[in-house]
Amino acid sequence: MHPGAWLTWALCGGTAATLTTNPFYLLPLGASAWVVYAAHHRRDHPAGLSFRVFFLFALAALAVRTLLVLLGPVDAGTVLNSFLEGLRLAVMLVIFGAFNAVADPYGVLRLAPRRFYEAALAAALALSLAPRTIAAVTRVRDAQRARGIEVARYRMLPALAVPVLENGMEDALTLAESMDARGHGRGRRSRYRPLPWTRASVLCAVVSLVALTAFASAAVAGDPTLVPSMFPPSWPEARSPLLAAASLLALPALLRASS
Amino acid sequence: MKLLRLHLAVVAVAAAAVVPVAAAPDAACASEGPRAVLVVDTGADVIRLCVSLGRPSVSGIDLIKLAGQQHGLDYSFGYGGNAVCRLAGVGPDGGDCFAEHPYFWGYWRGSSSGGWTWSSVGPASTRVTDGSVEGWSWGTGDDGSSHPAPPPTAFSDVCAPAPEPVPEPRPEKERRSKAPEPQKTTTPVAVAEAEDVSTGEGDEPKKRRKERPRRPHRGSVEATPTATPLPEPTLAPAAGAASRPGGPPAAGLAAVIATAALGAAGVLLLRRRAREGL
Repeated sequence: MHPGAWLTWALCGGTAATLTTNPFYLLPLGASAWVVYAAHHRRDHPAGLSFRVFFLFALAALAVRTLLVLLGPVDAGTVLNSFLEGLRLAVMLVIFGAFNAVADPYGVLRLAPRRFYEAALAAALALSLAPRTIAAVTRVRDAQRARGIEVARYRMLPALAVPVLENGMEDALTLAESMDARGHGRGRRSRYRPLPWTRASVLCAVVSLVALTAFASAAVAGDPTLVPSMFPPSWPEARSPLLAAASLLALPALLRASS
Repeated sequence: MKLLRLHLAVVAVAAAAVVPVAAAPDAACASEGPRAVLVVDTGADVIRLCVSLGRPSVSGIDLIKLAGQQHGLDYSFGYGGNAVCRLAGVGPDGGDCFAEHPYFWGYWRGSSSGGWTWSSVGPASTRVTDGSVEGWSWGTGDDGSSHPAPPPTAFSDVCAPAPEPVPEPRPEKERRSKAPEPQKTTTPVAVAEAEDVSTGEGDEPKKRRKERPRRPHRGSVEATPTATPLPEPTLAPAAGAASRPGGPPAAGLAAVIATAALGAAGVLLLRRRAREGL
């Protein structure tokens, strides 16, 4: 699958999630991200495992967002409201986690026009920070275990932090060198392994754009089901076209990732 | 005894059903163009007005002024015309809108489902468009969790459905019928205000009491934001409204089923990939 297709998928899914706090739209959105992760995450690469970390982050965000409201005056409406806002944040994190697990950040970087290479470098580093850190942590712990080093839990952090940060520096240098070698910032660029926009990639991107269009047009039209009022608390209503749009984002899971 | 109670309940429901319908004709005030609903909850009673905007969008302040022009709603503003001091004869007259603090006019914005959200900005900087529902409630509490919200009101409860696009002769008729309306529409407001001023509990006609048995009187502090039942099932055309009070709507169930199906599909995919070592 073309990395651009995954980028489109993640951007469309994430934007759709920002537009709504309706759980009946957010849940299918999150479930779609989960299916796509399950079908396409890179098993050969530790970054493919970053989804789990993002999922834990999402749960934490949901819990913190909900519990924070308990500090103020509370009624069912305010708690529900902040829970739904937390859910929106959680779904965005899940979508981003799935993107990190399925797409190759360096592949995404190759899409950037050469003129923007500094910006693209920064973006690629930022995008790949989480998966690379997770991968580095896994490597360091494996290495420690292989050498029979048992680190007590409370001393784990400093023992991990130094090699992980060192790893990060090395990675960044390697990335910069590899970009240089590929002619970024020099006005020429080799394409020794071109990324084809396969039919599956095009379909993935188109489906994502259709889903986003559905949500965006509903938001522009002022669809009240997007942000249901919780004063008084009541079951939010949902419209089937938007439900279908949210589930549509799961469709790339059915496509074959022939790359 | 039970039977009698049942009868009473039926009568009460019927009465509740009749009231908004009876109110509908005067609500049909503004025939065409953008309209919005203004709900004024003085604590003692609730005034619901259908206001014609005349423009695609106005501010919350403008809506009150328009309600004054079209329905004779009594109001006064303070703080440079940006804050609401008095509505329907309730609240301080003069520049200081918080003269009767902790009582003040809380500003609520309605959703199409009839619910209310506490407005985080003042009425001078909000946008009221066709179909908006705006609410003002007199009470204590500095935010949406402690201030009493107006009773749930949907746009279609107050404003009659917009006339369907019909052939030529119709608009002319409507324009003619529009003329006498201002007088018609001022009456309910006048009644409401008179009631409000009198405040006497004993002289309130029984029938009126039946209409609004649930609103606590002005000044009762324990006015909770949500407790009031929906008056809206009366207007049948409000689509989907009937399914709301019970459980989640059908579309919500579909969403839950879709989520469960996708989740299960993900688990199966993961297992298969683990087995095949892909």
